[in-house]
Amino acid sequence: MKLNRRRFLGFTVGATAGTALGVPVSQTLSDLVASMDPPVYPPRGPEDSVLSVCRLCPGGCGVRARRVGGRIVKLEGNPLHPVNGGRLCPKGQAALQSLYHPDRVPGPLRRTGPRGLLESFEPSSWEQALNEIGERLKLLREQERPESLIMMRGDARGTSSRLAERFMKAFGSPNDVLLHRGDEAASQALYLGQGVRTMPAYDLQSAEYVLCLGGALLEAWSSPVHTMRAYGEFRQGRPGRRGKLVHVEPRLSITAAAADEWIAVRPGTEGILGLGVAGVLIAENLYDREFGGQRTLGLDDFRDREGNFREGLRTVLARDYSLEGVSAETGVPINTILRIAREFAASRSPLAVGPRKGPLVSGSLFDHLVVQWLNALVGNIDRPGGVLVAEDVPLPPWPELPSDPVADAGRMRSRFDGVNGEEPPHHSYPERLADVLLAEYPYPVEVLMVLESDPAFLCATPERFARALENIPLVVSFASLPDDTALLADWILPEAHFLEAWELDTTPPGVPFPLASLATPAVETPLHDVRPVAQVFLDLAQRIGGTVASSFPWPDLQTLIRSDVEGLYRARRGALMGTAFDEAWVQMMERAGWWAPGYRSVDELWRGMEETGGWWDPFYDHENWRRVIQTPSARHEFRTDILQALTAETVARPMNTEDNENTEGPVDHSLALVLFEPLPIAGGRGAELPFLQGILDPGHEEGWETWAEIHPETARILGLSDRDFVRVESADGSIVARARVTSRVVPDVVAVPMGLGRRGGGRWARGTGANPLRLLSPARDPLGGPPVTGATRVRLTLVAGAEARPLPEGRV
Amino acid sequence: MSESDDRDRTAEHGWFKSIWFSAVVGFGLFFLLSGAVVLLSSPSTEQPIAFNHRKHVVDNEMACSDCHQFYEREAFSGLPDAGTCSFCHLDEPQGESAEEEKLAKLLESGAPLEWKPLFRQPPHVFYSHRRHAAVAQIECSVCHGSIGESEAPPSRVRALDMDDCLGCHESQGARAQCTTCHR
Amino acid sequence: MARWAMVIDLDRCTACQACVVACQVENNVPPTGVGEAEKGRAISWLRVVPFVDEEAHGTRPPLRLTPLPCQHCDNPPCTKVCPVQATSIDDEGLVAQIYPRCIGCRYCTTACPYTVREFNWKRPEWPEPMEQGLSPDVSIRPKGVVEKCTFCHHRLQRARDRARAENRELQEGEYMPACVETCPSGAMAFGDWDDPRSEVSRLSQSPRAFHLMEELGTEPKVIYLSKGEWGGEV
Repeated sequence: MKLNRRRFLGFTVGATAGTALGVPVSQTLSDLVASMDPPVYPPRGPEDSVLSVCRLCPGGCGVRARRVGGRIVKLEGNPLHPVNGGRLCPKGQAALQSLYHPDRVPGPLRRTGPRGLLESFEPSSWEQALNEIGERLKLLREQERPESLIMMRGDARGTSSRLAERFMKAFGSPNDVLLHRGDEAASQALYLGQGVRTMPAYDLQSAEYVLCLGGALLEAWSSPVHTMRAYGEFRQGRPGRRGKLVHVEPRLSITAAAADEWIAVRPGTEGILGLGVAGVLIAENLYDREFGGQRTLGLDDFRDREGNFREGLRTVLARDYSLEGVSAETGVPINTILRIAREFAASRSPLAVGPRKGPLVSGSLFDHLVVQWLNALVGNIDRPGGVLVAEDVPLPPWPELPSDPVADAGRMRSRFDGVNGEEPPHHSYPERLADVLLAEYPYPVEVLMVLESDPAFLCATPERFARALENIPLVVSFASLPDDTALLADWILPEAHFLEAWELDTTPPGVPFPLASLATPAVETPLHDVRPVAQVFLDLAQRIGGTVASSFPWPDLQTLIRSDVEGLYRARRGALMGTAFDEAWVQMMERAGWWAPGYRSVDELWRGMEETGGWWDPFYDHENWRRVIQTPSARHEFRTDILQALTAETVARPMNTEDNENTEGPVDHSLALVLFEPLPIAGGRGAELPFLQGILDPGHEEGWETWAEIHPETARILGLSDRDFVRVESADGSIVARARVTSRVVPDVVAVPMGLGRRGGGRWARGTGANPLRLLSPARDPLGGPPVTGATRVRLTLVAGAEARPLPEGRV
Repeated sequence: MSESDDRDRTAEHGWFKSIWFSAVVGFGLFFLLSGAVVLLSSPSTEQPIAFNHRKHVVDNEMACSDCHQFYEREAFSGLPDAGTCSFCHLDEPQGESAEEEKLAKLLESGAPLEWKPLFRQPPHVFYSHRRHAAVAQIECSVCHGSIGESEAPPSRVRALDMDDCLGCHESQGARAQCTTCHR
Repeated sequence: MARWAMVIDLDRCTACQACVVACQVENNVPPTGVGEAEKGRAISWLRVVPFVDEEAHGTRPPLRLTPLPCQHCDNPPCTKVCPVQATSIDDEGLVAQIYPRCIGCRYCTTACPYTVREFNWKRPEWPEPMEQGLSPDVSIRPKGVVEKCTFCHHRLQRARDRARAENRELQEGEYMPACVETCPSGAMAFGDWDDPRSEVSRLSQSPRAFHLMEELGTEPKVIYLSKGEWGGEV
């Protein structure tokens, strides 16, 4: 073809058009074809590891952070740590996401708009925060009203907590409120039986027959990894001796699925079944007669010190808890009760546990007493495989507080929530706190500090709690993610992540030996402008000046921890954390009365703790009765008087009996509400991490929502199908949940998980699911226990159309 | 075909058809060409300092591991950071080049030295320098060429591809399963 | 040459799903939100699945929660159907997935009877600063490719690299996947099935040992130990 001018012009125009179109089209093409994305190179670098302690739950697992070029890329368990031995639960594995969470509070935030909205906050500085808050507190001291400072905290163990406690004492306020953590009823039961104030530790790995009365033993149990390790040994760790687990609960929970037997009882009757078993043990003389005769009081009728006649357990059980009666109440055949009782007694090492499901569903005192008594009846107190009591960690006492008339006077005042009779801290509940704050009695509250807890979320009456906070001029939250309580605050002072700060953590609940875990900061500088809570209190104390400042002679957290470690050294017992061989060696030495710790100076101890994870004392002195039984009678006591006080109030009546007059909701089709706490979101923590949202329950693959389990028969009667949205309504509140029709619950029951339904917590927690706490009546266990979850009745109605859970805007 | 036929054809079918035809050809050609240029072009790499390997390796007899410090112990090789260069260049000039002045200013400012890697395996490949350099004792130049003798950083290098690796693995009898290198 | 196998003891397993999360964190699995989860597109290389025990009677719990990773079959159905050889079984029994070769046809996903293969329906995204937690040892998969459990073979690459540099053999326990390492109850074991002294070999001879869907002839290398009966032996 010959090139002429027209063709040349045409060609040029075409070429220009081609180029003009070619460039953007090919760029769009490369955007669409994802395999052409530029490669992502996570940075490489020299590798090392740093030891820390996970704080996503009270379990206290030792963590080893893998660092590449100074960046943390993975968390594993610390293999030398006696609590978890190199293992981690799903929360610990997901903890990396909490360090890098996109919604972490980047620095001190100051509220300038209406309460309750994240947009109301403006970034500020630590200088300004400490100045403003310090001034406020100083003013309170000058006005001699230190009691108008109240603190709500969720933890009692770490250095930060102990510093907070000291701060309150030095400041002069009696209002150091420890919010309930789910351990109270268990501790109370132990106290009533043995007279010691601590959490019982169950030696699961040496037991052979475990009767679990409703407890989530293999889920959010006190120290989950420690318990699961023990469970592994319990099952297959001792050749020829496989432990048997019998689980009693109205729901086929994860623990029930792992058990050898699932005894499905009517809701709220686990304790009654336990008493039925106890009755058989006594009636058939299967209990440990040596222990019963020599070391208990109250098995038989007796006269107390004042000369009053007191009924013994034998009498009460024979009269009130006959086999027929128990069987009728629980729905369990008589033969099954007999068989279990006989198997339990015949085992070489029987152990009863329960009923705690998690920090929020901690079980009634009634049930905890029954568990304690079953163990006492078979003599399994302070023996291998039984109920153990950990010794205290020999941390040195901190210097005496300087004398200060303002503080002394303040501390003598009664606590604003009326809790008396015991030295603070004493546990309290957000619902009650809301009531007291609204009443503004006995004195107005000026400043509220909230740390390591989210009471606005963990409250059955969240709107009331929010209103109560409006009366307080200055509310300070230490949350690192803007949680429900932080949204209501005036200042958010974000605390450092556990991987960003020093900490000395002590014995987790349920672990029978004293330990002190050293957490070293795993990043050179925190990712955001955050500070450890302990540091903030040290700084605040200096701002306030006077005796408050001189109560804190440590310049920083690391110095404080170091002085604690010096005390450990001077205690002259225990050893660095180590392998099983080391453990056996130390035990052997201590049994013979020697101390051979492997460190010879405080420096060596400190360095050793940095390298191994901490200090512990593996030697357990079994059957040291004077240590573990400190009741007035010096014997294990069966407090049948307490039991009878509890009976009338706390036990749920089965549905559809003739004399059913105790329902609070409508009588038709009302179901008993059963609450449980999946481990990934237990304690109200975990919903902020997407990997945990995805694993809420193995049978419920989608996760990310609150569901309501109902039996197929119940569904049929109510006209509900699987995956319908239903409104669950009680006399006190209602939520919307997705119905799951499953035979994992017994009929006439609806089971709903706890832990979702937050307003704060970042993009993944916010607006996901619903909070079934709203369904509970704020009434309490008469001895101050948690809300009695077994006694709430609810109604289910189908929800269709627009009311079905909407997808929040901007959600992926 | 004779010219007169062409002219006749053109006159018969209208002049616009011939323009359209060449326009279409031009369009198609340049559309594909520009697309290819956009999709396939890699930006040329410009280093913060025009590093002269020859001066260091040949003239001053330095070893590769003096600056690329990790290839004997780790999978990656590493590029020298400001600290490494500071050993010699922070206190006094070693030569008279303008580049060295540039370096000295950079080191004094405390800014990090951000080299752009020329040899980079895609992230789905696991390559261990330690295994090849320290264990198998392969010379650096076998893969990296004679870069030690270059006087300025190249703006582009021929990327090593799978055939290069497999060729050597096969001839040396080294394991060459997919999982040996891919991850 | 080793033959890598895994043992999962269902008598120890508590279905806590630590293995599931450990795998996701170790292998740079992107976090998915509620929208993706509802469509069933959340990526999880290892799942704990509920098996209903139809024969359970009396008080025996009718639910068996079972961790289900890729079985790394010795006779894998998935490798046979891949049109581009993106998945193949190597000389140590690991069924590999080579992402740059995968064209996303998902034939392998359909062929796998255990349904353990996952597809990347969207570009992986890590909201800042979560990308700082990415591991440099595992590649980031683009949209449109299939991925699955690899028995964390990047750990094998590193462990073997270290062993060769120290001029010694790989030792038992030096290479184990993230799930095995983290399991709180010690329910998982991993090792060389061809080594008669390995823990995996020993456990594979237990009377409780079984495979999933063995009748299909896939020859899986994940050995399960059933929940032992009362008085049952190891």
